[in-house]
Amino acid sequence: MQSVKMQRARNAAAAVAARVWSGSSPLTKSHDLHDDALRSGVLNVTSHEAAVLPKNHGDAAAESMGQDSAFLVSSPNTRVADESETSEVMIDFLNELPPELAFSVLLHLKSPSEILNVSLVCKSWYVMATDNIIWKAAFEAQESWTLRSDANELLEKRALDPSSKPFPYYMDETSRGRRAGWAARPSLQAWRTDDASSDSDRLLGDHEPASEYTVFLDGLGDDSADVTYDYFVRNERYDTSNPSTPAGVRRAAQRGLATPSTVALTSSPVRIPAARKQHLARLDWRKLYAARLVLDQRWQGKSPSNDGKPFLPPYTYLIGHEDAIYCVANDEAEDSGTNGRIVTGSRDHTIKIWSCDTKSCIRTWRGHSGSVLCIRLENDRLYTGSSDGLMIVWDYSQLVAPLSDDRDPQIAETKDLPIVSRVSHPWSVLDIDFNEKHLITCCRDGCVRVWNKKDFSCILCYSPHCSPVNSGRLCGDRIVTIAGNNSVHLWDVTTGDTIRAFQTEHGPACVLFVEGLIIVGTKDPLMYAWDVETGELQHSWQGHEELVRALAYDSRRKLIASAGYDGRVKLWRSDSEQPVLTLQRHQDQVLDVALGVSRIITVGKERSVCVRNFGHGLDTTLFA
Amino acid sequence: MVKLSTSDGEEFTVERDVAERSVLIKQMLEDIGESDQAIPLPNVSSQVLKKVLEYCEHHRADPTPTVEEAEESRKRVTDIGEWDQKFINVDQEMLFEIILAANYLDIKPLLDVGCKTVALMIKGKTPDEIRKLFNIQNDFTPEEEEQIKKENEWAEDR
Repeated sequence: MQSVKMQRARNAAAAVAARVWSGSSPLTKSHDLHDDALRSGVLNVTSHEAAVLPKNHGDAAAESMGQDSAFLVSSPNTRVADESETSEVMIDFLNELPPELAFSVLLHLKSPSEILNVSLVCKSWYVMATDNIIWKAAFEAQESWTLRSDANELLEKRALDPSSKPFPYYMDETSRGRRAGWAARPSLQAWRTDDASSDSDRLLGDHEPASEYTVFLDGLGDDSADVTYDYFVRNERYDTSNPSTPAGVRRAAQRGLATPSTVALTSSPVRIPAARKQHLARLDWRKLYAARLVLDQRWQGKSPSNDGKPFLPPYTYLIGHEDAIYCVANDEAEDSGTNGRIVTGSRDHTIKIWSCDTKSCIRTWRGHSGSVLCIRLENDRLYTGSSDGLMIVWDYSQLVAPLSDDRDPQIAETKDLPIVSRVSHPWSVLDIDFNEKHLITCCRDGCVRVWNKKDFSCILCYSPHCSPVNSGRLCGDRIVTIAGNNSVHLWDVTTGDTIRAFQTEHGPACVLFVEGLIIVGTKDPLMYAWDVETGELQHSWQGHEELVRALAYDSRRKLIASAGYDGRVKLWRSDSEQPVLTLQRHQDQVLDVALGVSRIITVGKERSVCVRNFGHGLDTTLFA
Repeated sequence: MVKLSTSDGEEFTVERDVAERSVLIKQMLEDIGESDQAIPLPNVSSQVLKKVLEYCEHHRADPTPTVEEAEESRKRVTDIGEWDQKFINVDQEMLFEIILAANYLDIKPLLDVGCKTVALMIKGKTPDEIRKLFNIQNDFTPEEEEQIKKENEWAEDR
C-alpha cells in the first residue's frame, strides 16, 4: 500500500512537471469560475471553443505539447489523494512550486514556532524550513533585531586572532550535509548554490545564478557535483534562455535567469561590497535567531531553561574610581571593540573609559574641578556636566584612544585634554540631554538652557520651575523637566511655553520621556507614568523601597529600567503594573543605570561599576 | 484592446489597462506595440487566465505600489483584502495554478495573495494536520522526529 502511494506521489510530481513543461491546462474538473468579468463585457472570449473547453482539454493539451508529450507520464487525475474519501485534489505546495515561490510562502510565516512546525512535516519541508533565507528574513522581520554595522569587521578580527574563540553561529557543515541528504528536490540545491557568497548575494538582490543544471550538493562529496536532474523540467518553465515570447527575450537579457519572483526574496535593500561580506555570508541565521530570542527572553524575565526561575545575569565589577560614581554611559557603536565600552563620571572629578573586552580601564581624564554629575554620549561627542558649573564637550574618539606608552591608564590625565568646548553655568550642571535638534542642560540655578549644537552658544534660557532642575528629557521639540519643588513641566523647548504641568508629592529625582509617557522616579518611592497627550496618570509603579534615582530605556525590548537608593534595579514594561525583573547586587545606593544590547550597567556609591551580562553563555557580539 | 491566446488555443480580448496588470504583457506591449495578433501565453490555460483576468479587472485602477509598499505588504500575512479573500477561495489545484500564472505573468500583488493564502493554510496547524491537508507522507523515523523536536525546543512558546 505504501509503495503504491509513493508511486502515485511520484506520478503526481511528474504530471505537474509535464503540465508546467507543456503549459497545458491543469484543470481536470470544472471549476466554478466567476463569469462576472465576462458579463461585464470587459472580457470577450472570442474563441467559439470556450464553452466546450473542459471536454477538449485533453486533446488541446496533447496538441500543444507536441514533441514534449513524452513528459506526460500519467494523467493529472492520479494526483487525487484518496478517491474513496474525497475528490479534492491535494497539492504539496512547497515541493510543487518553484523553489523561490515555496520560499515566498514560508517567508510569510513569521513566528519561529510556525516555521519549525513546518520542519516537522517531512524531510523536504524540513530542508526548506531550516534554510538560511527563511531565518534571515525572520530575524530581520523582528522590529528591533539588527546586526552591528561593523559585524563583518568584528568577525574578520576574530578569525585573524588565534586567541579569540571561534564565532559559534556559523553554518555547521555536518548538519547541512544531513539536510542536503534530506532534500527530496535537488532543484533546491541548484537554486541555492553552496558558494559561500551566494546567500548574501541572493538576499541582497544581487542574484547571479550558477549554471542552471549544475547541482552543488553540500556535504555529499565531490561526486555529486555537476549532476543534471530531470526535476529541472519544472524550472524550465522559467528558463528564459529559450524564451517563448519577445518580452521573454528582453527579460532574459535584463535579468539573466532570475525569475520574476526572485525579487520577492530581496529582504534587505542594503548592499555590501563583495570583499566585505564573506564572513556575514557564513552566518547561520537560525542559530543567530535562537541566540537573540533567548537573550530577549532573559531580559523579559522569562527563563529559557523552563525551571520556573527567571534568568539572573552574572555580574562583573570594574574597579578604579576613588569615590562614588554618579553617572554612566554605554557605548556599543561601531569601532567600540567586540563588546563595547563604558564611560563613567565620578565624585573623584574624573571620567574613565572602560573596555568591556579586557574588562579594565583604558583611559582616565580629569577636566572638571568638581564631581562629574551627568554624562551623555552622542556619536563623537561626549558631554559631561559637573558641580564645577561646567559642561565639557569632549572629542570622544580621542578620549578612547588607547595609551601609546606604558603609562597607567588608571592615573588621570590632566594635560592636552581633547576638549571641544567648555560651557559655563552659574551653578552645578545636574543633567544634560540632546536629540538631533537640541542640546539642553539642567542647572541647579533653576534654569534650563538650550545650546547651539555647533558652536555651543546659548540660544535660550528658561526657568520654568524656580527651583533646581534635577533632570530633563527631550522628545522632538518638547521637553519634560523635573525640579526640587516637586514640579514636573512639559513644555516647548523652542518657545518656552508650558504644555502641561504635573505635581509629585516628594522630590522627583529622574525622568524618562518614552512611548508617549512621562515617567518620573521619586522619593515616594513610587514611579509615576503620565500620558503625554491626555495628562492622565497611567501607572504609579511600586517596587523600590527607597528613592528612585535613575531611569533608562531600552527601545529594543521596550523596557524601562529603574535604579534606586535601595540598591535594586528593576525592569518594567509600560503595559504592566509589576516589574518583569528585579536585580539586587549593590549593597549601597545606585546612582545611575545604562542599558546595552546584552548588559545592564549600574554605578553608585560603591565606587565600582557593576556590569550584568544577559548574554552569558551566548555570543551576542554581533547584535546591535 | 489586447488579444491574449492561451495554451488551449482560446483567445481573450481585454482592455489594455487590465492586461497591463501583468508586467510580462505590459513589457511585451511596449516592445511590439498593439497589434491584431494575439499575444500567446503558452503557459496559461483559459480557465486559469479567466480567473487571473478577473483579478486584473478588479484591480485595474490600483496604483502601482512602490518598492517599499510592496515590501511592507509582504511582511504582513493577514492583510489579504476582502475581495481578494473571496477571489482566492478556490480549491488547491486552482490556487496552485493561479500562483504559477501570477509568477509567469509577473503580477506581483496576485502572486503575493496566492503565497499568503498558502501560508495561512499552514499557519496554526500541527504537522499532522498539515500532512493531511496537503497529502504528504511523514518520511521521518520516530528518532529523527524526536531529534528535530529537540532541535526546535528553544522556540517553544513560553
